This record gives sequence, structure tokens and C-alpha cells, in this order.
Amino acid sequence: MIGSLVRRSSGPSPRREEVVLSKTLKSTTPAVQHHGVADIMSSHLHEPHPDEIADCVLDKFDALAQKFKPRTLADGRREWSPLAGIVLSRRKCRLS
Amino acid sequence: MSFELTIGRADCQSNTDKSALRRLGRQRKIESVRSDSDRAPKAFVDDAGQETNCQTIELTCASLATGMKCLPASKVIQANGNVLHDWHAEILAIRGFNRWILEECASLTQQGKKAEGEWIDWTNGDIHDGQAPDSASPQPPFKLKSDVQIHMFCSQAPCGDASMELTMASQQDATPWTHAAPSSTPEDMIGRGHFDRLGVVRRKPARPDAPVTMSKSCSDKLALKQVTGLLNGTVAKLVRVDGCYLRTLVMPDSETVDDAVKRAFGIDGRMKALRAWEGSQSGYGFRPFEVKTTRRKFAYSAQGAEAGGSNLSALYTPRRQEILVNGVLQGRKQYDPRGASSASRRGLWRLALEVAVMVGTPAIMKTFSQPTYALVKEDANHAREKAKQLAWDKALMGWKRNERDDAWSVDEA
Repeated sequence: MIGSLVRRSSGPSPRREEVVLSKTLKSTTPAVQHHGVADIMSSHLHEPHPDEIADCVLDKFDALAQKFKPRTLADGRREWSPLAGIVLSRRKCRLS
Repeated sequence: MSFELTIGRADCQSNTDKSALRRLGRQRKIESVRSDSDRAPKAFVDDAGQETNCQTIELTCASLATGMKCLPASKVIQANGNVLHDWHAEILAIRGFNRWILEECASLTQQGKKAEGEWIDWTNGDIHDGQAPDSASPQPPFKLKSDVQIHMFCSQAPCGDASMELTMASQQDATPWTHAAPSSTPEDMIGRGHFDRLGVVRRKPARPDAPVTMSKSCSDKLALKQVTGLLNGTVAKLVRVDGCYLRTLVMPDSETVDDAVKRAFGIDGRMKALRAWEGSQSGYGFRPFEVKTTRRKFAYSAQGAEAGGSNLSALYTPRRQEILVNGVLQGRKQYDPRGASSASRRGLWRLALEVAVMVGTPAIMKTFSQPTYALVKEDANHAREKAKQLAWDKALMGWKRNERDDAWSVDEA
């Protein structure tokens, strides 16, 4: 999975995962399913959609005060800047 | 039985307005994927062997930065650890991540050795890769929790090799810029021009009239992070490196040229020779990230901006926010020590020393008590230097180090 492959996002983020999950679940036999599902869930749940990663950074930047952001000059022209962010993901477990 | 899969960002919700939250569908719920009680998993088992429902991904922004400049080579010698050398957004965000992780270590240390951190765990002398604990070269006392994965988002393609095709396409006149032309020696790094040379280490791009910088392009630095992980040399003495590699790099779809990304970062590109490396006992190895794309747009991107690039640089972590100008805190003169960012060399050393003293491992305290930054770096990271050298020899040929900025001590003002 890890490597040079470039994955392009398409469409709304979670639906893609949902389709994959549903198909995978339905095609797995009951005997191996518990482990199979756990593995599948684990790999999918550890792979947030790229849109979600982007949103996490963009939303956090949006929430910053204006003084942290590129300015709009008196004549209305807008400054620009690149943005980058580090996002951590993990499974969140609720006790059953 | 049915179960729900949700993708949430608990942290990211805290500061955003509710309407934006609804609009963006941040707390998304994926409808139940099955309803057959015989076949669905009833629960998951966590690390402690306890049954749990772990169907939610939590995303947390640990660091973000804006910025697009770097220090000319001639000024690095005056930086004294107070001035950042390179505050392109990607590089500053990684420095911010290092600061954040050190602050998490400091917080856990204050809670004691039996405490459990939110993000960080004590290693408690874990035997790592069969290597016995060694008092002269002790294991780092901390590690990022093992279930945490690290991703990065960039609002633009990183400068350098991963964006050369874009740079070429954007030229009205395709004639390469000719300033600071490379000499005949392969050790000289080129800047933005020389489009015929792809897959090579480059200096950061600059205007033709700007003084030359020796900071390497973001593509090159990110490629090297696939070998060193995200931790810098100072922090790597305290935190295990093997849990701190980038797993995903998210770039704008419109700025991602597949061939460029594969060439700059991929296992069949210029990093190819490192595939054969099995890694080091200290946890270093070649761990390539996966590049993914998004169509999300940054509101302050260059597209449609009539004015120039901002000279303000923002640095955010959940524990700290700074506004920087010319590599130091806004409002301070460039070489004033009071202007040092918390993520500067001096800022990180100072906090690392505090943490090391609190932890009390003699060899680590000794490292951070060295009289100069040069000696700290030398003492800290033989394995790291070896890993970097391997990357430079096998993949990132021509990487030339910046002017030195390491002959200062942590306490000198």
C-alpha cells in the first residue's frame, strides 16, 4: 500500500470507504469473518480520507484569529501563503 | 447487530463554528454497513485486551504553519539558533510538530513515571529490536503511542522536484532562470531553473535577485523524512523515531503531477536504492509515505491573490501559537534572542534539556548539557547521521549542508 502510488480523491469522502467496506464484508465467509473484518476495519480506520486530513488542517487554520492570516491590503488586494499541517489519526474506542 | 462507522475530528471541532461544522459534514456518520447479527463483529479488543467499539477515527491537527521564505546562506552564521533557517510551511509545520511532541513529553514527565499521556507513553526501557538497554546510549524515554498515525496536508505542491513540471508549465518564457548557475561540480545544488534536470536535489527557489540560500527544497527535505522520520535530532534523543514517520502526504489534486511525485518520493523514483536497506537498530529505516490528493482549497492560496506573498508566517500547535516574520517572532529584530521561536533550534534545545533533567537519565542529561549545539548534535545522533548519509549517498545525491549555526550555547542570550 505504501509507496509511489498516487491516490486521487473523488467524490464525497466517506461514501467511498463505505462502498468498499460493504463489498468486502459481504464477500467474506462467516468462518473467517471476525478476523477478516477486524483487519479490514483496522486498515480502513487507520486510513482517513485525504479530504478529511485536509479539512482538519484547513478548519484549524480558519479558527485562528485574523492576525495569523495573510492580509488584505487597503486597496482590497489579497496576500497569499502556502499552508501545511500535521494531522494525527487514531481509532477512538468506546467501551462496549 | 449493526455498527456505525464515524469519522470524527474531536480536536478540530473545538474551535470551529457550528454552522461550518454542519456544512462540512465534519462528524460524518457512515450508515450501518450490515445488520446480520451472526456475522458482524461484536466488539474489538484494544491493547489491554478489553472489548471495545473502535469504529471511530479521531483526527487531530498537531501542528500547522504558513510561510514561504528561508534565510540566505550568508545570514545563517548570525542566526545563533534564534532565527529559523527555513520557514516554508511544510518545514515549519514539522518543526512545530517537534515542539508539540516535546511539550507532551514535558507534561507527561510532570505527571510522573506511572502516568499515561494522551499521545505519549513512557518506553520504560523497552528492549527495542533485540537491542539491550545501554547506559551509554540509552533508549529514548518516550514514544508516540503505537496506534497513532501521522499525515500531512500541503496546500501547494512542495517546492523542488515534486513541482518541477508545474514550474515549467507556469513559465511564460520557458527559458530556465539563469541566476546562480551551477558550476561544473556535481556538489553544487541548483535552484529553480535547469528544467532539464529532474530528480535532483535543489536549493529552495527564490527570485533571481535574491541572495542565495542553501536551504534544500521542500521536496528534498520531505524525501529525507522518509528515512529520518519527522523528529529532528534533538527530539529524537528523547522520543523513539520509529513511530514518527509520515504515513500520508495529501496534496491538491490540481498540483499533483503523478510522474513528479513518483520521481521525487516514490519507491521506484530517486529513492529506489534505499529499498534494499533493512534499517538500523535504532529504529531508522526507509518508510515511504503514500501521496494522496484532495480537491479541498485553501482560502489564502496564490490562485486569485492579487497582492504578493505574505511575509507573515503562522505557527500553531494545540499548546502554542506564534506569528513569525523573517524567521523570528513578529515585533522582534531578526537576531534578537528574545525573538526566537519556540520551534527554533534554541527553543527546542532548551525544552529538551528541561525534559531531560526532569527524566533524570544521566546519559541523556549529559548530551543536552553539552556546551554548544554542535556538541549536542554530535553526541545525540550517530544512528541518525548514518541514516542521513546513506540517503545522501544512495538517493539524494548532491545534498549540500547549509552554513553552520551551531557554535552557541543554550544559555547565552
